[in-house]
Amino acid sequence: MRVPVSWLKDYVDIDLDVETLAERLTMTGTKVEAVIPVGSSLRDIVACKVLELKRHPQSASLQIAKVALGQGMPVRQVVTAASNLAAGDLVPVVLPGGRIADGTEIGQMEFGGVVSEGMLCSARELGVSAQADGILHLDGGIAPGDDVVAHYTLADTVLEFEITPNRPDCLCVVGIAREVAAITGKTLRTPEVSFTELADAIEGRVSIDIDDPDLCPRYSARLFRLTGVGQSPIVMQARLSAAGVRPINAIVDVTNYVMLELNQPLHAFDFDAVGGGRIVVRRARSGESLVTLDRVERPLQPGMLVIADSEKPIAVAGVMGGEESEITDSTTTVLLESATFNRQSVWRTSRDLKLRTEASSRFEKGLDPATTVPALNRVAHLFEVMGAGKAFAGIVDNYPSPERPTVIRTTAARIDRSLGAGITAEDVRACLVPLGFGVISAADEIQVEVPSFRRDVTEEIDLAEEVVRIWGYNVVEPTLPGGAHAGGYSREYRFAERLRHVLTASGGFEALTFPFMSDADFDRLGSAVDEGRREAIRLLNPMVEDQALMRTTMIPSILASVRVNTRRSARGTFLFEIGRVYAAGPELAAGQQVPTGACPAVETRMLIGAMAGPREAAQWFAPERPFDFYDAKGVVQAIMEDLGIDHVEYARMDRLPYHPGRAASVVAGGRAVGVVGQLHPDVAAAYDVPEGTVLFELELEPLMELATFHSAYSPLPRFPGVDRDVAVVLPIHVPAEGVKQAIVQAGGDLVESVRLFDVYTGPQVGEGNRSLAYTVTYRSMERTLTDDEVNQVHARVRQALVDQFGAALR
Amino acid sequence: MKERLEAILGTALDAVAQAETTDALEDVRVRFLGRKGELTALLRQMGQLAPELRPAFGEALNRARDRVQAELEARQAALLAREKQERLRRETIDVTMPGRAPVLGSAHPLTIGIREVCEIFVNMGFKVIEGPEVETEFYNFTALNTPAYHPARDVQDTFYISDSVLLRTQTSPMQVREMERSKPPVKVVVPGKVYRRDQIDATHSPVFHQIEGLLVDEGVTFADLKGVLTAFAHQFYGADRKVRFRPHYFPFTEPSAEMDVSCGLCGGAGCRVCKGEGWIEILGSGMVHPNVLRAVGYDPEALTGFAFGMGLERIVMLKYGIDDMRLLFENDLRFLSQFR
Repeated sequence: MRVPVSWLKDYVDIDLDVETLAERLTMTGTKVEAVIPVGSSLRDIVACKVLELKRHPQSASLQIAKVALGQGMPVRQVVTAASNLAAGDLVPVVLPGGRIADGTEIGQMEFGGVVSEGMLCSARELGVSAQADGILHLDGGIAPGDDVVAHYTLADTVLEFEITPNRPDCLCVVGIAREVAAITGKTLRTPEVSFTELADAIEGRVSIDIDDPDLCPRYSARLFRLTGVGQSPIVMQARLSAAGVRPINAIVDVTNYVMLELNQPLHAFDFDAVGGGRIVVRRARSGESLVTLDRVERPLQPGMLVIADSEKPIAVAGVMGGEESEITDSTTTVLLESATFNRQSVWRTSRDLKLRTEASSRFEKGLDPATTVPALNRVAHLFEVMGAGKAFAGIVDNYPSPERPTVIRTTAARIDRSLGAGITAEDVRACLVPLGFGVISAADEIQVEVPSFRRDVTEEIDLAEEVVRIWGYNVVEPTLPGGAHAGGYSREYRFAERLRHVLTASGGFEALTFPFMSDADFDRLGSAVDEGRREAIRLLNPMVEDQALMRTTMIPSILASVRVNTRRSARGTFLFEIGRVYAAGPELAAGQQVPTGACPAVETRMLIGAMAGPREAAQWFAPERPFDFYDAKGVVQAIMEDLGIDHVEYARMDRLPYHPGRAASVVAGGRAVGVVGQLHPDVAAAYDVPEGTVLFELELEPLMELATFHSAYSPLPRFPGVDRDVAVVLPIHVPAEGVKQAIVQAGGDLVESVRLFDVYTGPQVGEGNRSLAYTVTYRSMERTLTDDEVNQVHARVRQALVDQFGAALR
Repeated sequence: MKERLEAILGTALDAVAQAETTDALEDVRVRFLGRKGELTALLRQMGQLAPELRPAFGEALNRARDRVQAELEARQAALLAREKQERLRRETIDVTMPGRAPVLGSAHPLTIGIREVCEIFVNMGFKVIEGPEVETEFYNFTALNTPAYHPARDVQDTFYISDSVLLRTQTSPMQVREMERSKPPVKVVVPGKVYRRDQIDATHSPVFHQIEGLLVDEGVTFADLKGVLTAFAHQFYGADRKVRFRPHYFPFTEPSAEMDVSCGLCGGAGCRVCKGEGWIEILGSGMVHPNVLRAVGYDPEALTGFAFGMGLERIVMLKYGIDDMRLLFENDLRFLSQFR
C-alpha cells in the first residue's frame, strides 16, 4: 500500500525525517518496503492568469496566450496547442529553465516565429493525474504568481508498505497514522466530517433489508443530490495518483479517497436505477445473472451474496457493482453504500467469479463494522467542500446485531510469560493505549478492551505481540534456553551422508532435481501401460504437463541432468541423487480422507547414479575409455563394502528401461534392493543421452536394515597364505560367478579368496568360448599349509571345474 | 720369493686401483686372494723356503694380503657409492608430469548448506528429522492455524493432489507431526523440499528447500528465540555480523519475527546485495501459537515454544554469490564441481 506523507500529516504530526520514520515503522511491524519521492522533478511552475488568446498567425492548431504572473511581474507570451482555454482562466505555467514531472526541462522556444516564454501544463505534466488533454485549471484559491508545486504539495514522499494479512486496519491512511502516533507519542486526529444536510430526508425514499445477516452484518447508506460531476480538487487527484489510484471524476475519486483514508469500500448507485428505492441484501437465486461494471455478464451461483433492488441483483456484494446502476453524466441522485460483508463470503464469491477488485481484497481480510457511518459522513463532508453534492437528511443504518467489544483479562506476568522481556503492567498500558486499546489495571489484573478495528486481537497472546512490538523486539535481551538436550541426526540423515561420502570419493557429483515426471516418461521408459502409471500421484494443477506427476522412478530426472551435461560439454558425467519416489497411500488412492497421523503417500528413499561418456579423458598413463556397466557395478560394490553388506548377488535381468543383456538385479539379504545396468538403446535415444549410459538404483530402507557398518572385528591371520592360479576355457555364456562359487565349494574352508584376474576370448580358445583365469588364495587360520596340502586341495578345485562345467584347463 | 711377493703385491694394488666396476673388482679379488689366487699360491709355496725364513716371509705375506684386502674393500665401497649415484641419476623422472589423481566428486551445494545449518543446531541440542512432502491440508494449513480463506491456500500458489492432499508449501507441518508423536520437550530441525506454484526464474522455483526448527518446552520465551537464532547467525555468518528482529505475521506463530543480519558485503552501509538496506532477511520465526499447541493436544498454559524456518536456496546463493536459482537444479558439472 502507498501512502503520501502529506496525507499522513493531515492526521498526525510528524517531526521525524522520513527515513527515520520508515525505520521506526518497519521495526514495529508496519514494514516500509520503499520510500519513493514523487514530483521531485517539478521546478519553476507558477500559477498564471490568461489575459487574452490569439490565433497563431501560421498554425491553426496553436494559440498565443498572454498570461499574467502576478503583480509587479511582466506579462508573458506563451504558445499552446490546448483548446480548453478562455481569458480569465487560472492555469499553471512552467517558466523557461523549469521542469515538468517526467524531468523534461522547458526552455524558451519559438513556434513559427512566435517566442513562447514557458509552457502551460496539463495534469499529466504536473503528475496530478493521467489526464494529458488540455491544460489543468487551477482550483483552491491560488493566485497568479503562486508556486503551484508548493500550493498543492505536488512534491511529496510516498511510503510503500507491506501490510501483513492480519492487519487490514493498516490498509488506510488513518490506520497508518495511528501507528505513527503510537510509536512517536503524538496525538491521532480524526478526519473532518462536518457538513449540512438537505431538508429532504432519506427516510421514506430508501429502504434497506438484510435478508442474510450472516453474510452482511451491517449495511449503511446515504442519499446524495449531485450538483455536478466534475473533476475532484487537484490536491485530491495528486494524492490519489501518488497512492497509485487513477483519478476519474469527483464522485469516484471521493469514494476511493475515503476508502484509502478509512479502509471502507463504498459503492455509489444511480438511485434512479434502484428499482423501488429498495435495497435487499440477499443470496443470489438460481438462474440470476448480472452485467458488472466491466461489461461482463456474470451468471451468479446461489449462495453468492448480492445487492438487489426490488426485482433483481444490482451488485455483487463487496466485489463489483452492476452496469445498469452505474453513475453517469445524467445521474442526479446517488445512493452511497457503506457496508460490512462476511470476509469468507466475499473471498469465495470473488474466487468463483474470478473477479478480484480493490473492494473484494479489502472485504476478504475482514473489516470493521464501526467504520460504515463515519465513512458516509466523510463523503458528505468532502462532497460539500468540493461542491459536488449535498446529503439528504439522515442515514439508513441496518445493523441487526451490533458487536460487543472484545475484552481480554490478563496480567503483566501472563503477557511476559512467552516473552521473557520483563514486561510490567505499566509497560502493557503504555504500549496498548496509544494503539486505541482500552486498558483498566487493577491490583492483580489488567482488563483490555479491544478496539473494533483490531479484529485480529482476540486473545492474550495477541496482546503480548502488540506489547512487545511497540516495546521493541530488539530491546528484549537474548537468552539461551535452559535444559540440556541430546542433539543428533536421524538414522536416515546419517545414512544418506554415509552414501554421499562413498559416492563422492568414487567420483560422483551430487545432483538435485525436481521430483516430477510426466505421462510421456512412461512411454520413453517403455513401461507397460498400466505399470507405474496407475500408482503415480497426479497433480490437479501442475505448472506444465512435464511436471504433472510425482515421480515413481528417479530415472527421468537424472537423465535430464545427464543430457544437460552431454549437450554442453564433452566431459564424462557421473551424477548421483539421493531422493524420493512417490506412490499414493491407500486412502489417497481410494479417494478417502487421510487419517490424522498418517501420510497421504508412500515416499520411498532412493539412490540413483548415472554415468555417461568418457570415464576419464585420455591421460599420458591411460587411454580414454567410456563408462560401462562394470563402472556402475563397481560403485555399487564399493557402497556394499562400505556398509558391510556381504553376499550380494547380481542376477541377470531383462527388463526395460535396461539393455536386455547388460543389467542385473542387485540382491542382498534375499531381497532385490536395486538394479545396475546399461540403458536400453531405445530409451537412451528417447532421452537424448549417450547410448552407453549406465545407471544404478538402490532403495535405501532395505540397505539401512542390512548394513552392519563393520561393527565386529575379525582376528588377523597368523599363518601365510598360498596363491595358486587356475585358468579354464568355458562357453561364453557360463557366468563367472558360477565358476567362482564352484572353486569356493571345492576348495572348502581353506579358500580365503578367489580373484578373477584375466578374461580372454580369441582364436586360442575357440569360437564361443572364453578363458577365465583365477588366483585362488589358500590359507588356514590354524597352521602353515604345506605344499602337499595346497597341491591336494588345488587339484580338487581343478577337477571340480572339469567335472562341473566340462571345462578345459589351461 | 721375496721379490715375487713384492711384484705380485704391486700388480694387485694396481689392479685394485684400476678396477672400474664391482664385477671387475671381484675378478681382482679372485685373481689375487681367491683359493687359486696368486697370493694364496705363494702361501702354498712357502714350504720351499728354509724353515728359518718362513716366519718372516709368512708375516710379509699376511701383511701383503691384508693390504690388498683393505684396498679391495675401500675400492669396493667407492665403486658401490659411484654405482648407486649412477643408478639414482638414471632413475630420474619428470616430476612435472600430472599424477594419477583419483576423480573426486562433490556433494550438492544445497546439501552442503543443510549440513552447515544442521550442524550448528545439533550442537545446540536439536535433532535433525525429516517429513513427508505429500501432505494433507490439515497438517500444512489447518493445524498451523491458517484459516480456510487464507490466500496461501489458493490453487494459484499451492500444488493440489486432491481436495485435502497437497505438496507441502513449507516444512512447518512437521512441527505438528513431531509434537503429535512425541512428548515435550521437542527440539528439532527439519530440512526438506517444499513446493509452490512459482514460475522458475532467477529467484523462484516451484521446488525449493527449507529448514524448519522447533523448540517446545516449559518456560521457553521470545528472549530464548532471540538467543538461539542470534547464536546461529553468529556461527553461520560470523560473529561480527549484527542481527535484528522485525515484527511480522505468520498464522502459526505469535509474536512473529523476521530476522535480518547486517549485509556481509557492505557491512550495513547499503549495496547491491542488500538492495541498499544494509540488512539481509534470513529467516522467519516466532513463538508457537497457542492454537497450534492445542491442535496437537499440548497445554498452552504449561508449554511455550518457538519455531523458525529459512529458505535454503537464498542462504546458499548469498553465501556463494550465486545469482540464478536455476543453476541449483540444472546439475551442470561445471557448476557442481565448484563446491566441496
